Amino acid sequence: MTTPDDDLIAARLRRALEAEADMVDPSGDGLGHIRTGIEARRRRSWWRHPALALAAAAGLGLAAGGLWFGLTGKGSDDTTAVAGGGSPAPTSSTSPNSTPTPTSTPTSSAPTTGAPVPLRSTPRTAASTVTVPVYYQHDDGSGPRLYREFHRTRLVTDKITTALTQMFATPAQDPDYSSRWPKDATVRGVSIAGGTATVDLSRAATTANLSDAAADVALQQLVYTATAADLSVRKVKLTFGGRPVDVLWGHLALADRSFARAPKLDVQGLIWILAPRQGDRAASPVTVSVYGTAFEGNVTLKVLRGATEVTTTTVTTAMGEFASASTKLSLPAGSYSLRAYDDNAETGALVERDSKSFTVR
Amino acid sequence: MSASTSWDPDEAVTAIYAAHYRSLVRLGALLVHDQGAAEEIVQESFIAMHGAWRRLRDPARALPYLRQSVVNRSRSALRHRGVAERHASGPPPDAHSAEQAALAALENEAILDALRRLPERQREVLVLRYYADLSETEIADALGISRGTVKSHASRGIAALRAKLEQMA
Repeated sequence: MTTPDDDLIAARLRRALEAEADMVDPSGDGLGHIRTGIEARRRRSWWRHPALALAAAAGLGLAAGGLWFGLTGKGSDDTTAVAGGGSPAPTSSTSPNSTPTPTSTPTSSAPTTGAPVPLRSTPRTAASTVTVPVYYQHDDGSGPRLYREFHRTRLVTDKITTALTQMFATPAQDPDYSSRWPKDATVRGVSIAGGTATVDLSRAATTANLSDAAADVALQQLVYTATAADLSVRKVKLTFGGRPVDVLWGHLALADRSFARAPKLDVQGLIWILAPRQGDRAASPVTVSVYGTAFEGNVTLKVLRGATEVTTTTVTTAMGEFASASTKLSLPAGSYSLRAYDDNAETGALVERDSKSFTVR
Repeated sequence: MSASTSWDPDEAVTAIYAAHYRSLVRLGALLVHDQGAAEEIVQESFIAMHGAWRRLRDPARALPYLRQSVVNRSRSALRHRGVAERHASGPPPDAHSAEQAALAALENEAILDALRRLPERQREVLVLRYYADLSETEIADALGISRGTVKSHASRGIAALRAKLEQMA
């Protein structure tokens, strides 16, 4: 029995799995590794079970070595689709004989003749890949505010270190966003106790030329990033080279204070475009999704091709609080920019808050 | 492709690689949460398929074979990797994530994180069902279990995900 709730969960799971799978793009040399592995196994078989290997070669059509090279050009590109190659027969009555016995395959650590042949030229990395939220600044005309991106990257020590390292050293995907922190700042260590993360940064982080307001936003940029990366963390305390700093950048009184997130309405970008992301290649209809706050909740969306407006629509978020909203736009193939505006409540003029470039394929 | 029934093992590897390598790597990556390991697992599965081709012969049986092999190898990869690292993705998000609920990408992370914490069989059934879009029969074949068991793993898995997500909402 499934309940409507279960259907909802199933739909969410499907979306999440698809999004996760989309981020996996195999490196192009898989077929080469497979062939090398087959060759290695073949040689191993000859050496270890000559009789068996002979029988296989003679009677069962083991391919001649040359055939590989004849086939190499064809299908080595993993984007080449071969129609009908292997659609499964759902009802195939697999006899016990044809049940795969994957565990019987020799592993690459088995003894081999000559040099061992690795399956992959690159070593397997034990480190996992994570998606971390990273906040950047963008001045929407009313001063710098915080905008968030998700970066998929290798885990460095922990999620806070990973996210802050991205924030310092990796430019935002959206060229409108930037970090005001010194690019050569590094994270020396993170320790968490009672919901407060003490983040030790390199001394290089203390060198920046920021105004009062910009310094406040930069501090919040770090606090938002750290608290989003590790949701058990509510407050952040900073040290530099292992020591507290009384006044950072000549503006911020730090000393031993820990900092929580400032209210969203004070520091967060008023409208974020969540989808499409900068540089996305999307299929039409394109899902446009925003997160923000606006006068009467109204967010105006405009799609431009070059300088020409292609279409415009409105979605409703919330007023006085943040909410998400989305719509779908049918667009012919091409390159576009999407701009999100809210109304100036007094003049009715549109004020641009965020923009993204994307392609419809 | 009627000629496909006469493929030799090398041709089979080449053709099936072109059609299915990417989706199999993605399947593996969803199971082991590590693209490099997934590529290796799928490559080993192709090598095994090459060795088993004289029994398989039919391309229609190759894909179920590869899937089963990927699932089995993913499972043993996770075993070898050990419990500690499997949970290295951090503690589950806690209640203060109101922001999280609103945002698609983090929402995905939350449900995927919950998925990773499910028992092995439930996780495999859900990935095969909702990513690979397999029928109950196909999943039963791939995992070597009965259709009834597939059904119960699927519904228990979804219920467990719902419970975990409600906990953190």
